[in-house]
Amino acid sequence: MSTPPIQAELVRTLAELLDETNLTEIEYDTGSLRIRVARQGVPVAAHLPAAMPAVAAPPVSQPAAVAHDDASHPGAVTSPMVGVAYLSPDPASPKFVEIGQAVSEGQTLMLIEAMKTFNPIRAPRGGKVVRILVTDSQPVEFGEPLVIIE
Amino acid sequence: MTASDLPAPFRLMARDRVGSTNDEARRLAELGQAADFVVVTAREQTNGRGRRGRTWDSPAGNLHCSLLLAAPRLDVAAQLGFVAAVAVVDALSALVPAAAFRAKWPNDVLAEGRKVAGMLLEPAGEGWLVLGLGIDVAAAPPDEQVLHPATALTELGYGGSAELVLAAFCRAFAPWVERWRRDGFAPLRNAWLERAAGLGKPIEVRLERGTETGLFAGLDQDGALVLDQGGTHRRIMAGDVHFPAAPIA
Repeated sequence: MSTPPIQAELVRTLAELLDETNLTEIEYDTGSLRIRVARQGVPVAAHLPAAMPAVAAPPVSQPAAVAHDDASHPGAVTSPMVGVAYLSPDPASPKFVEIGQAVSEGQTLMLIEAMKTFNPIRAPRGGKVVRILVTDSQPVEFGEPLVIIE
Repeated sequence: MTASDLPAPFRLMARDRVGSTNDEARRLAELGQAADFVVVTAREQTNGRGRRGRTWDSPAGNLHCSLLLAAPRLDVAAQLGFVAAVAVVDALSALVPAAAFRAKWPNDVLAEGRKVAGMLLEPAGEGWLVLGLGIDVAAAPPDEQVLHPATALTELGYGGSAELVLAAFCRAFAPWVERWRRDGFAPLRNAWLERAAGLGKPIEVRLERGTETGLFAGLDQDGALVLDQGGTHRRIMAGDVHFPAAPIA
């Protein structure tokens, strides 16, 4: 069975639609083929039914592929909303956590602001902060990995 | 003021002097004592908060309150700020018909181009949102103390109390919340845009680092500000909007 060609035209059309509508994600499903196009850091991927060999479209860029791996990391804490990440409670204060620091369950790791809604991101479990994947004041997307705790 | 002064479904919990009504409301949620449309008010706040560590002047005579709202989906909870801003514009327009009230992104309210109300929203407990609302009824901070020049309702000729302002807000807010819960953000987005200050005009958005300028092109489907920078649309989720070409119509 040959590898199905990547539907470049379809992906391009969906990507244009994404821009026009200002959506963050579009999923197109014909039954035999499902294509999801998402913006910012998430690779464009084609999902095929289990009966066919799984073929993933090449990632758009290397950083996007890395972000994707981080999201599936078992210790990843991901963003519950679109917004701006702050690593300290206010510009004059020290960061909530540093790399290498031990944290306990429920401890605040950072804040995410969207339209003056301030959402504290808390550690889902105790452990050590091994990576902080965002910089201060960086815009983040829904599901984007923020911190890795091991 | 008694609970009977607020229309259904609101329930009033009036305090005298607190650090912040948001903290009081959040404590209720964390203790499992939250209920939809509970309103915590205080005569005075000693530690009123704004964005990013800023303080919010909260003298007696102004309205300081925090509403507890069921918000099972955190990704859309921020939209309640727009719902409340629409209700504040409508309530204040009815109380002071001679003044022009407009919404300033994301959820401030301006009277004659000066800030008269602000909000700060925080999730709390399991599935609750605390919506903190401050309205300058009796007094506004002096211009040199604030980012955006402020005014108070009394300066615009209003002679009533903060309690009456809260009751008017609640009457305007309940049907919009119901509409948002039933029909989603689209009708609220339109209602907010109809009341927005500076739409289509040049604005400046001060971010934590740096400032972006462009035309205020509108809101996206999440409520993010869409800034038109020479044909390129930039989406902004957080920042302070300023109108370089004041005054605002």
